[in-house]
Amino acid sequence: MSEPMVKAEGVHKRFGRLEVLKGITLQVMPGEVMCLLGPSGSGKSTFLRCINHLEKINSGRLSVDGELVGYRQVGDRLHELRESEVARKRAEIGMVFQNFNLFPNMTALDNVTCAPIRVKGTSRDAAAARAREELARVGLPDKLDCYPAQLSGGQQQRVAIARALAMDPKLMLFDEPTSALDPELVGEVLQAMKRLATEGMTMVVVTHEMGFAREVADSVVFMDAGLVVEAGSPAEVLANPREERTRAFLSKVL
Amino acid sequence: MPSAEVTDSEGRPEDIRAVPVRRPGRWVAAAIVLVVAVAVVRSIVTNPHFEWSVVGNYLFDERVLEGLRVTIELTVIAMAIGIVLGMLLAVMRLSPNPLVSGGSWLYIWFFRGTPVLVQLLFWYNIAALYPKIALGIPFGPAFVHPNANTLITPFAAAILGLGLNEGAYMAEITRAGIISVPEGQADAARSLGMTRLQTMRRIVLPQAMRVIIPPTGNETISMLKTTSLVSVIAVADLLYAVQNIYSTNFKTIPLLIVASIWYIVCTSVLYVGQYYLERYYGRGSSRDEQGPLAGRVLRGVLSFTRPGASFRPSGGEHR
Repeated sequence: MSEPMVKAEGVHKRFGRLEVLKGITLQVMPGEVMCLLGPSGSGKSTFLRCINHLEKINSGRLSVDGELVGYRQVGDRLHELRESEVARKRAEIGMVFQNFNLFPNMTALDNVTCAPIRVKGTSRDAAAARAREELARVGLPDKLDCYPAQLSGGQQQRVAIARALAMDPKLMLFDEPTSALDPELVGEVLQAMKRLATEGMTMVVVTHEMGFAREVADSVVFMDAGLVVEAGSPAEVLANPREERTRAFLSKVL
Repeated sequence: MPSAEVTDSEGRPEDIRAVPVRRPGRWVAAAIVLVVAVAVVRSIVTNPHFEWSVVGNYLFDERVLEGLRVTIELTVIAMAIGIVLGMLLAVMRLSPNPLVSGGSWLYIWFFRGTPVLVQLLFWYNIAALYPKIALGIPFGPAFVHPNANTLITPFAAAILGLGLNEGAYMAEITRAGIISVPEGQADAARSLGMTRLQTMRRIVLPQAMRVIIPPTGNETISMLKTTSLVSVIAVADLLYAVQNIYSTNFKTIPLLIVASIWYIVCTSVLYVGQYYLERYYGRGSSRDEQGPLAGRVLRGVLSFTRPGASFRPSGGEHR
């Protein structure tokens, strides 16, 4: 049995006095697509941000690909990782945001080539060739020279996916990737994500798209108030939820 | 009764052609402005005390041009110091380390809190405070210790006074620019593996420039004129040069006009530079392409005179 890609044990996160995560324990295996569901404020996005250390956890253990996130264990003591080490690990984890967060002063092509050139030291030509490939794969081969403001929301989010993929991540995090989109544009983004899933990418997806969860996810985790309420296969959790809280939530969104 | 849909010969819907609303107030206001403008121009042309021939004689006088060179040099060097220092202070101010951000706060507090003229006089008289300036290990041995009077010439005092003061203002302008960039931009950059420094340099600062440039243009124009203060510490700038001339020939007004003309020429050049800088850093911010400056101004004027058009130029030059 292989090592889990993401392993969380009793992960706690506080913002001041507000406890957002109250002990999250879960595992994501390589190649698995996990959907995190739950009401707003349940801590799904915060947990996602903890995985690539955009947020620091307060207690518990969180590791990616067998290595602790943000720390190094020497004996039984934890040492904080240096900024450059954290950055190197983040470079291996792609993240897609609800608001796209494309760099508005760069063209689509520059958005995708920026990190490979600056972070990995890829040559400009190689990065551009790769970027063209990735943009073509998300269906935007003709938008290379467009600025984000000239693209629709769905196109922007697909550029953001291409930008993350150009770094060859071993894990992709999606933070409500379709929540800021018109209903009509949701499909094109989900399509790109579906293709990625079938290619075997390990994905953790915070979403409200039940259809996507049912169709694509290998496992579904329902969170509420900073805790995992229920986890299992989509068939179990979505079709036959055991917990009352899960049932109440699903009856509202389905 | 005519149909609501009016089409032209090619079947396209026709633009509405209506009688514009009468606006008598505008005509009265325009007439007043015109009368005042004519009166001012007439006075400038007919009042013999302007002595335009003297202005013409001295406009390209060697001493005036030398003063102009010093003024431009002071402006460029002081602004360069101000911008670099401001950027450093702004980043320090946003540091999580309280000593670093506190130090930056203290600097800004002090240099914004005292008049730049006082600061200039201070640097000019620095030798009274520190007769020798030593460069070496703090609290340890010094490697060089030149005399303050030879190191801090009037020109150096002017540069220090103007540049260090400007740094405090530029720090606040830069900080405003940095915090105007949405946090998601830094999240995205860091999630791609950029370090804090790379994120700042490659992602945040270029976007902050859009917010930083207009007030920096303001500061540069303001600096060009503030340099005239250095005449009090005997730096031979533009104002100092014309003062020198009129103290011997008593043509005070014409020579002040000479100085004013050169100041206004320089600020006008800066306007054009600022326009192109703004356009460069505004890339991607608008869906439509912007043409060269002259074309946009011309379009603004044309839309003003076009019959039926509103009195406000529709081109973007009315800010």
